[in-house]
Amino acid sequence: MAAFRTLLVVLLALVLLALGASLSHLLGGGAFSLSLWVPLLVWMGLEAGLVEGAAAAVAVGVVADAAAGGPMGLLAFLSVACFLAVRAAAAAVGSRGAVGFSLLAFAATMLVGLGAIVLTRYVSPAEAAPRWSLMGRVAVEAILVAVLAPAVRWLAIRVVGEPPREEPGLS
Amino acid sequence: MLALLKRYRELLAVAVLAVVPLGVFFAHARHPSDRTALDRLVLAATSPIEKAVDWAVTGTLDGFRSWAALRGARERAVELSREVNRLRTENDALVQIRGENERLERLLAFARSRPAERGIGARVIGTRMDPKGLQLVTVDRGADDGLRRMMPVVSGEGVVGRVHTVSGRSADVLLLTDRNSSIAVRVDRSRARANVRGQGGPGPARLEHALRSDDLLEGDALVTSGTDGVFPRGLPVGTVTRVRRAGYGLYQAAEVVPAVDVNRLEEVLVLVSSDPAPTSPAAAKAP
Repeated sequence: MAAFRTLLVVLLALVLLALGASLSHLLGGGAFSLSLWVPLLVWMGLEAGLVEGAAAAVAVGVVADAAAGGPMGLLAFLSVACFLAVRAAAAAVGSRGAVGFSLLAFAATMLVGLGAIVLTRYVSPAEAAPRWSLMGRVAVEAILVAVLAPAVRWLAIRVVGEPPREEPGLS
Repeated sequence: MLALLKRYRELLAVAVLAVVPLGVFFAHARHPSDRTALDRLVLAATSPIEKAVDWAVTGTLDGFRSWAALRGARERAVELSREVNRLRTENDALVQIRGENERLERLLAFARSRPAERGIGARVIGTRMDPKGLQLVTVDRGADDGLRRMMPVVSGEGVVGRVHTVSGRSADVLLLTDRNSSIAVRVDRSRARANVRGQGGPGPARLEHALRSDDLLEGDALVTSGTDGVFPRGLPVGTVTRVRRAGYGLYQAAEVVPAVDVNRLEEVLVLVSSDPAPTSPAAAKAP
């Protein structure tokens, strides 16, 4: 059952990636990106079990890596990191409402963006390393993702269904 | 040890799930010359998965993009089809206008080239080309506009015919292809005289009264001689074809292809006043 849910999450992530790319192209002409798959990680962090969620997060990250065309493993690692961070933060934030969920989605998008820049800078030669000014773009993306996050959560509940609840952070 | 592993198996699984992608990332990101044996092993192990995922994701995203790009394509196609039809109609109208403009320009050029003659432009509004009867066209100008019988009618290409009957607001023009039409002409090259008579159809006319001794060749241009009291001199009438000289007789025969295609007439010029025809006795007697 968990494997089936993971498959549904991956398929949903694929749809969200396509939707994000299309929206980004239609609305901004590619001026900004729209990582709609990040709220899916947040939703899993809040709702899924530890191992099931982490596995699904890796799968989503692999799909995101393939879609982004960057070095393999970057977004997969950041997805797991994001998933774990959400699980850790969920206890502190009132995340059951739309506002709390959006805030977590904002923070998660910032985390993924920041992590991508830090790790890419770490492995890239200085002349090819991404600049810190990209964080402005990440912030814009995070705001847009936060706005759309409740819709993603609604979609995830309809498509994947409610996973068995467990207290976040205890496992 | 086993108990410890069993106790923390979930945490270990999560740690593996986090560390493996990071290892793959570093293996990928490292410069090929700096890669260790472990990096190469990781790359070899993950490469097929990477290719499969890449194929699936790229294919799905491309399909979605194509679908998104085709949204509204049908409505757009219908809209474009309507636009194409509208533009075709408009283009047809413009082609008509251009053709009319070219014809009128030729008519105007003709009128300007003969300042001594005053013409009235008229539009062909009817035709009657009975192979066994009259070859007529009706124009939209009549006696009210100053038209009278026997006035010469021309187009930009040359002689059309003469006014046959006139009513208040229209007139019938007897075409040069009618059997009753006879126009006095000269061979432009040799100045030899003859008559051009219609044969009752839109095809070639007949050259009459060309003396056997006259210099006449196929391809010669014929112009009005101005000696028939109808047409002013120098108007193009047609071109000589099929010259026939019999072994006896006074005249030689030939066919004449009219300069004007009477089947395509749309606008004409009625010459309401023109320079007088030559009045010398020889000219008066000549055809």
